[in-house]
Amino acid sequence: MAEKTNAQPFDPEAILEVRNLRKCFPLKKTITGKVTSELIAVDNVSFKLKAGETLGIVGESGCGKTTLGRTILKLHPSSGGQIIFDGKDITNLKSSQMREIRKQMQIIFQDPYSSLPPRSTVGGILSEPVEVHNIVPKSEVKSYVLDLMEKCGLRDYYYERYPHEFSGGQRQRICIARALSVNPKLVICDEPVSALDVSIQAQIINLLKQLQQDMNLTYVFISHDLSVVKFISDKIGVMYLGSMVEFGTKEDIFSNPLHPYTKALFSAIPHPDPDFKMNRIVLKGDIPSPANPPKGCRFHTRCPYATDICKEKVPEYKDYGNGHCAACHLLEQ
Amino acid sequence: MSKNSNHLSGKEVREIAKQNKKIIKCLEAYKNRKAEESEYLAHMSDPNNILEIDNLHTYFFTEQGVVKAVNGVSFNIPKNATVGVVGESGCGKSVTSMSVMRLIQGPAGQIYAGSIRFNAKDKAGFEKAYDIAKIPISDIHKIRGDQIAMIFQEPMTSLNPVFTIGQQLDEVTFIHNPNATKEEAKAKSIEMLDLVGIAIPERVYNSYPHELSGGMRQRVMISMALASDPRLIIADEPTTALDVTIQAQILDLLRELKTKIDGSIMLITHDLGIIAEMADYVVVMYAGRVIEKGTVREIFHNPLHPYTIGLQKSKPTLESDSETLFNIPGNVPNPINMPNYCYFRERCSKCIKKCSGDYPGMIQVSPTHFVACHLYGEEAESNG
Repeated sequence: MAEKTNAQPFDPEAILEVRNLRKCFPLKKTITGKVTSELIAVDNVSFKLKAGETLGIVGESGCGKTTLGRTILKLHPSSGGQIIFDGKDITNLKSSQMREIRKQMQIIFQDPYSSLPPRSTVGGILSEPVEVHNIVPKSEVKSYVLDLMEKCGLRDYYYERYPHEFSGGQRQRICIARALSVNPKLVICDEPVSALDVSIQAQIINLLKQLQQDMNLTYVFISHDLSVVKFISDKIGVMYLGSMVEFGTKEDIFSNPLHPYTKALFSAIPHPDPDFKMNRIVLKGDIPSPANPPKGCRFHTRCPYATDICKEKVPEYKDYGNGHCAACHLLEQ
Repeated sequence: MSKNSNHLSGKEVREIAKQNKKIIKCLEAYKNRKAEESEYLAHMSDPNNILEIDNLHTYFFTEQGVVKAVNGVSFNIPKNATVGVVGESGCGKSVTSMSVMRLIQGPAGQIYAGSIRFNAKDKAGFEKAYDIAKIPISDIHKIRGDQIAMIFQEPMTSLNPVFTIGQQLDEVTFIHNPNATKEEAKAKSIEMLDLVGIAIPERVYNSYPHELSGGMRQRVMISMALASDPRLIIADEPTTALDVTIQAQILDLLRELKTKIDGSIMLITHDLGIIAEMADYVVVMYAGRVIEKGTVREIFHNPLHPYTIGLQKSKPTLESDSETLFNIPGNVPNPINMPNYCYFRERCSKCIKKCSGDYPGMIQVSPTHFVACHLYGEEAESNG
């Protein structure tokens, strides 16, 4: 399925389709500019996402989930594969052509403390994208922005205030309002709640869910917190060292995890009940450096079930029914 | 919230600064005084406790006013127990631990009142209680790093980048045992690295912090804390900077070590899951005060304070299937000029008339379970 992507027609139902996406960063270059070694941050990732759905991407730090999100938005140029957004291949579009499409895809960053300009007021931050993209006539910008602020749970008198006057949760609301100001179809949420406290986290997650229903948004929700991802997602992709090791609907992934890494990840979450006893699979060792990934299956150095074949051959990413895909040699037997 | 509630005029700021200067001068002089040991000896109210924090007040004297970061906190840490301190950012949990270590950054930050009684063990093996809050800063090394050790949140920034792991570990041994030879120190350091589960301790001994991963660095930090055989380990968010699978490793390690070293752990975290797994006793803090404390089962199976209940409900779990998440509305109040009534009143859904009155006192529900909420005061009154 993965080899002949170019010949395949676009799925009309999918708003976002990613085929064999690769992203490499050069590590060393010769004097002539030839790349001699590179870091493969995203390796052969493929998935489809329907409008109105939420895809949760989980993985540990350094697994390439943020790079994947940014490459989909073309904030980094991709090194291979295709990105099809709304029935259009956007992989090789020029930046001037991208400007039109940028309106429809937005991003919410992790750290609300560093992603807002300190010298503009909330009103300024929110009206700028509206004016740049001509969303509404100039005379209506202010009322449009105030309306948007109300939707995101911001009071109208915040319009004249500066970002430093707000707490983390409110700043994240401003970031969300900014992303939604251009009426996007797709929003990439890059760890939007991990910098926030638990009680504020719940407010922001509920807001994101509410806005999704109201505006029919599609989310790619990147997080390292499985319980948050489970709460918000329809589909889940688990990444390890740059590649997608498992992908499927939320129900499939949680009731029947296939890949040993997914199982270990689930069992590693501390359970908020002192009497709860879990058979924890504690993975040994650290994540290998993505600049020098292990041969064969990338997970074999930490996998409790690794066999000889895992050290030699890269497992194939296969569909095990109902779109539940995984890449593991154990499943093939 | 009025529009200019945070704004102070220059005159007001100068006035506050003047007042602060007076108090700080007094407190600094007390901190830097020379004192005989007898002056700061204390008496433990229960000899089975390793640490008793009694009505601790730690204030920060800023130009905007006094921030009461820790405002009357009391709890005990029994011997061989793990006490979890849980709360959101800004609730004073880290400042409490810093006060115990006497690491509050002066001159603005000061322990204003209260006592921290610590059951120390002298060289002969006898127990001797000290009041840490009264110890002059020049004598604090008897306790800090020796009897109480700390594991910090950020393993990346807590290690010195220009020294090898070995040099940094040896230093601990040299400071607390000045007669040790180089070989002894090295042997001890390698033993410690081995204890925390580092596979090739000799190699790590000679490497620099940047050569290690986050999980390894946190292991080194833990081994450094253990190097002086402490009686109490304070772990301030030890796994927040780590990935879940690495977090599981470190938590396993801490649990193992507690039995090995026969000590107590004060575990500070915002993650209720970690608390449920690790702690024997739980202290819940909100805006500088303890609002509920009890054993781990009491807190998780029978939470009483509306904040504790809300905190537990607002965390999504893998089992829950609800559509929307419970959330506590609003934000943590501004730490300057705290009101006289319950700090949680504005965000509380079970607010009653009495909540506008004084700040609720600690109400005992069971021998180990305490809660600071008017809802239970009434019940207690009507029952008896």
